[in-house]
Amino acid sequence: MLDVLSVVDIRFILMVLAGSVAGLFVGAIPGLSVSMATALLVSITYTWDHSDALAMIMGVYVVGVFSGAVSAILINIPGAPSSVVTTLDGYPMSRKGQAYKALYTATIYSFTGSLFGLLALGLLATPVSKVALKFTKMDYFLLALFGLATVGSVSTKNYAKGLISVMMGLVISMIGLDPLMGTKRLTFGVQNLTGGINTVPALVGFFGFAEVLSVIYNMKQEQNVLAMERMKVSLKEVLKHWKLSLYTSTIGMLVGALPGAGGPVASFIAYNETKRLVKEPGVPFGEGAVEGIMASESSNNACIGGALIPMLTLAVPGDAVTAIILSVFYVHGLQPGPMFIRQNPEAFHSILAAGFIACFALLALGLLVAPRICKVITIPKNIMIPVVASLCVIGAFACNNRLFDVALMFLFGLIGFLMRRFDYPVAPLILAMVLGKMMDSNFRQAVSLASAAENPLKSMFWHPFTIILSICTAAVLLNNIPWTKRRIDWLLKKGKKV
Amino acid sequence: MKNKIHSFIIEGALFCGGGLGLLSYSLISYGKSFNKDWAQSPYLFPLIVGFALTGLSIWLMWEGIMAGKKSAPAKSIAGSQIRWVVAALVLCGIYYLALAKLKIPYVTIGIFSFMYTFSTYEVATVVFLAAMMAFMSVRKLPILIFVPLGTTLFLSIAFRTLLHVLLP
Repeated sequence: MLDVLSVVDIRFILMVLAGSVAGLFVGAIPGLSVSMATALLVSITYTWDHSDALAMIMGVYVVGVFSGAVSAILINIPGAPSSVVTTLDGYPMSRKGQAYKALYTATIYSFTGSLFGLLALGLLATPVSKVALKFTKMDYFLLALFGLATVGSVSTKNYAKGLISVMMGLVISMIGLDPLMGTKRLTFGVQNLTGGINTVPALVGFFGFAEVLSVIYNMKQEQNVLAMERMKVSLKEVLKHWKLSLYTSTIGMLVGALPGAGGPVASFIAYNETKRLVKEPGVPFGEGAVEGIMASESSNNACIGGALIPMLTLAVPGDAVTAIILSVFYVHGLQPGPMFIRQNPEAFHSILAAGFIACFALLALGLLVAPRICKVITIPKNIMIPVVASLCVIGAFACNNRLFDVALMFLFGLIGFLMRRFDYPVAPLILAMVLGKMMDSNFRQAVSLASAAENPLKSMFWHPFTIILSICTAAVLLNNIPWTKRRIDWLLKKGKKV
Repeated sequence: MKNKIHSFIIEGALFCGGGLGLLSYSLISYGKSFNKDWAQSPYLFPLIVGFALTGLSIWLMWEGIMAGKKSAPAKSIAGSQIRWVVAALVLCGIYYLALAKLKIPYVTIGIFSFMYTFSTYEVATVVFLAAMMAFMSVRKLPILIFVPLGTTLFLSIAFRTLLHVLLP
């Protein structure tokens, strides 16, 4: 591990810091995403030395994932899908005037989560990749299904509404060319839909523009009162959840190592686990529980290290940003794979060193700069909302330079607003939208492979991981359907009496 | 007394229609396609999602029927407040049309331009922001002038100049 220090010099540190500052603003401004910033960086850094390029990109990646929480906490618009869960407790805290405490908690646990993930990357790269390599297509499908089943239960009191939201997300993800055969689906002759629906306009619409409409809807009842109090937060009080954060970071790291799942699934699973384990939180979950922010932020930041594991050792990216980092490797003539660490130790050390430096930059920026951004919420809403609306427009437009995406963003905003009014959670829809294509392709590949086997069912389900994931998914579903839940409770009571 | 239908039943019926629509779309598209193997068909996943959505909407309608028996209050949208939302949407629609249809040629505005080129996005955004703020009851003239100008300038420099986004 000490070899990591061999690549560090002043220039390297400055590159990481520049990337970190850019990451803070990219993540905090709604509509700008870490993946968009890294993609833009690829075109800027391709003439640079690979060490400099990796330093800056890791700075953007680590701090950008954290700063998604800043906008999630302050204006209820997650900067990235992985910050969706942070809005559940972060925004209610903000509304209670505890924005500073929420940001402080998010910073501390993003730091520990990132550090944990990167340590895991350094120590466990090979063994974890070996496990992930044994996953079948069906396992990936079931993992995503497990994530979605969990999300449905986490984000709403009515499970049917949570699952309907999931289905809507899956329908949106199916629009465009199908991932295996390239057949057009659900485009209805609209050429602009052929490429599918980009996540950015959907995210901006469902979270940003829907918020704008909700504020306008409640304009007469509630006038701009989100005052922010700078409060004293004791580090001891925040760190009292450190043991639980190790568990949620482990979840994040493991889920991050599985291609396609990434931060959104990790944070939802970690949040659900925390909800299960913490029976008596200081404040109920969903109303400003610090434990909720801890779970979401430690797990989604631990995903960074986890997502890099299969990318470096198998050339299989764990999420969108690592997919872009993979392209940086190719641009610089580096070939990730099982022999990568042995053949290119400097590149591996650059990633680790940049990651660790970015962790400390995250801590400094999160504690010193993020509270200043807090002032955003003290701006009267009748000034803030038009500005957010114009940010939504430019954010939706910038991802593809298409006005069609702006129209989609308006449409999704209206749907998001109606969903809020009728108590349908938006978070499961977004997660299903992100995972839909991966689920579709893995499921069909699994079915295709099984159809050629002698016993298709056995071929699909008779694997250790498949059995475990099937049981977990079934357990989540049965535990949340009211009728089966009542039956299970009745059987358990009967069992106790006997 | 007029019997109110529980909102779950209406919502369930709406999603049931969507689910059945997706089911028929999948089956019709599958029927038209050359590939007759469901295992490889691109319409297998939509079919499953259609089934699930229909099932879930029936579950929701059932909950509505059960809740209706207990005479639970139905969720609705307040008509007076929705007018504000519709007005805001109309404003956004005009903004969108301005971005899409208006062609303001690149004009360097003399000595005030600081060598900076303005186009449809900048003009439309300044007008939209000022109109939206006026709509949201901002009455102070300096705010109505400087916030739209400042915000548009910032967004334009960040996106057009630094990020090279091809704004309208």
